[in-house]
Amino acid sequence: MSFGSPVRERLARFIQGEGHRVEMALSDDESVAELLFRTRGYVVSVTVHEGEPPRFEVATAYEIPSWARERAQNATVLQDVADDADGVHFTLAPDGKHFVAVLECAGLELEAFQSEFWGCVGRVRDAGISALERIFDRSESRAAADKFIKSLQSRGTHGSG
Amino acid sequence: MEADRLAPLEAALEEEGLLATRDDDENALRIAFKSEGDRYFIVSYRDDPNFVMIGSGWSLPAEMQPDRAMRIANMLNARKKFVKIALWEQENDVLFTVELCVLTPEEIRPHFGRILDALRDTALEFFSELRV
Repeated sequence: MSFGSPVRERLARFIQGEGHRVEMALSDDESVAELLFRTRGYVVSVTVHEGEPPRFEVATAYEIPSWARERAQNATVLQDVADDADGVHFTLAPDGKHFVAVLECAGLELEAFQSEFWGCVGRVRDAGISALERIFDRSESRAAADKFIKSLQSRGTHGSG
Repeated sequence: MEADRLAPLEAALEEEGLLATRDDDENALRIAFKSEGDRYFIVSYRDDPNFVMIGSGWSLPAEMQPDRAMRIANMLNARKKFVKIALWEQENDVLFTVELCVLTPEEIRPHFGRILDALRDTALEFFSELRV
């Protein structure tokens, strides 16, 4: 391994060495790169900011099913989950169809980041899945409550007739 | 010419973005691959085309007590779905496998992620218990 090569290339070789095909996209000035690979059914993005020390962001995007797209409610859920997510934060897309779970790893040299790499990917995955489950729970309980209220209203209407 | 029975599983690995290598011989078809740095294998024997084994092998810590590892393996064998754990005392290895009987490995493809998760989780639990 050549330590003279950019951090993005060394990290890409590390991920490939761990068994995963990697795609790389590079900014025009080559100061920022995005490495993409799949694991456990999800696409993981690792943004590499070249520098001394480099900065890394590990992220995964999650699709919110159409039946659970309550933007205001989901923003609250994501904030709640982020409070307990050990550094992972969330960004909800403006259309409410997706959110991205992101973990920023600053102040780490590449070797230190590599030694924690799968732990970081796991933290992002666990936080994302936990957020998705909370969104589903809220949507399902809200749907159940709506159904219950409608049923009561319907009974009330019949009862008053 | 004999059809490549493991081709659907190789395609599943390709779909998941995992790099794999083949190591076939006159007795068996084999795929080796890594996921998150851990090594896995898939084997199908030429004289038993319905049998497919997916697994991973790990070294046991040198200071490990075989009886204790055996008890943990037995406890997990009784409790976990799909996965069989075997200790190879002389080699000081532990093997986690899922063994399946299928008409074609295409049947495994939709469940491949779940099988890998089961192997991964069982190994994790085995070594966590061993460290307690």
